[in-house]
Amino acid sequence: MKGFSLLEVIIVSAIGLVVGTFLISILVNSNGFFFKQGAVINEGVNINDTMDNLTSMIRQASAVATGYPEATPSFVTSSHVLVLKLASEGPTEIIPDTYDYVVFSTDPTNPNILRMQIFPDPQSSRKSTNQVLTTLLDNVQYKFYDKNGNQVTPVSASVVEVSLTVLAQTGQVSSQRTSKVSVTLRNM
Amino acid sequence: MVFTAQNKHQKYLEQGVSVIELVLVTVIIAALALLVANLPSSVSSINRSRHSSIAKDIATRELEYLRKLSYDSLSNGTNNFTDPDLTSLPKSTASYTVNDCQEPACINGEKAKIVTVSVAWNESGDDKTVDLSTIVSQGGLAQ
Repeated sequence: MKGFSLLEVIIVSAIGLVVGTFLISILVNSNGFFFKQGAVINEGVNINDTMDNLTSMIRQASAVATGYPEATPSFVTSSHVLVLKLASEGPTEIIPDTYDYVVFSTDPTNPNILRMQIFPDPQSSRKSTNQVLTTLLDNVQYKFYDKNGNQVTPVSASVVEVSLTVLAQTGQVSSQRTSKVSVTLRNM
Repeated sequence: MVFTAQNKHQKYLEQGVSVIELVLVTVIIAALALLVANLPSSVSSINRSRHSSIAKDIATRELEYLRKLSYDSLSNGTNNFTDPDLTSLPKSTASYTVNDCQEPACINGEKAKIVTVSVAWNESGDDKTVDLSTIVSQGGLAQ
């Protein structure tokens, strides 16, 4: 009966150490990849989805409103808040001189949440909505232009330029994406 | 026969490797190979998702631009366009095609054009495209 020599033990533990380090580094990395993958996919879906909602509402809008409600606004259109006026929908056609309001604003309690709220006129068949568009908001900015591309006040705008930045944070690593699009309002 | 130290060693070598040892080694190697093989697929799936999202973004932007143009300023055919984000897509090309709108989409001789924006890129050997379409009609919106 003979045990292992010191040399054998040292070699075996050295191999064990190398293989162990290799295995753990693979585990840690692939775990990181998993989260990064989730975050990047989430970010892409978020930015596309939010832009879809924004562009489709701007396209339907008759005008940009100064705020909602118009008399004593609790939401005022600015470079970070957008209030749109959409013609109210009746059972078969639009109702003249009656408007629904769509508000895009950041959540007052969490600056990373972008919300879309629809306030329909009582006669309108459009549904009242309060929807979170993204929870990864970093920055959103609106610029207002007329037909000829001159920057104007929101109420006289016929083109709204939206610039949206989302930020996905995975531990120490963050990934950012910005999307910018100019959308023309209805009948402008 | 005399068992010398050398003979004992000889006998030990002739026993070969046991099944358990073989199975253990195979399992360890397989586990390592599996872990390593999974890494590139993670990376490429992140990129694939990112690229299609960027392509959709480029197509949306161009479509919104084309929507602003009048019916009369759109002539049939295919044109290339550029976008700063195209550099983020490998081997990318971007074009839009204008065609007369045919039935059943447009009836009663309605004058309208179908505009299709197409962004194509190469995803490690695979050709990918994102297509978005809109209809621009004479005397329609924004005209």
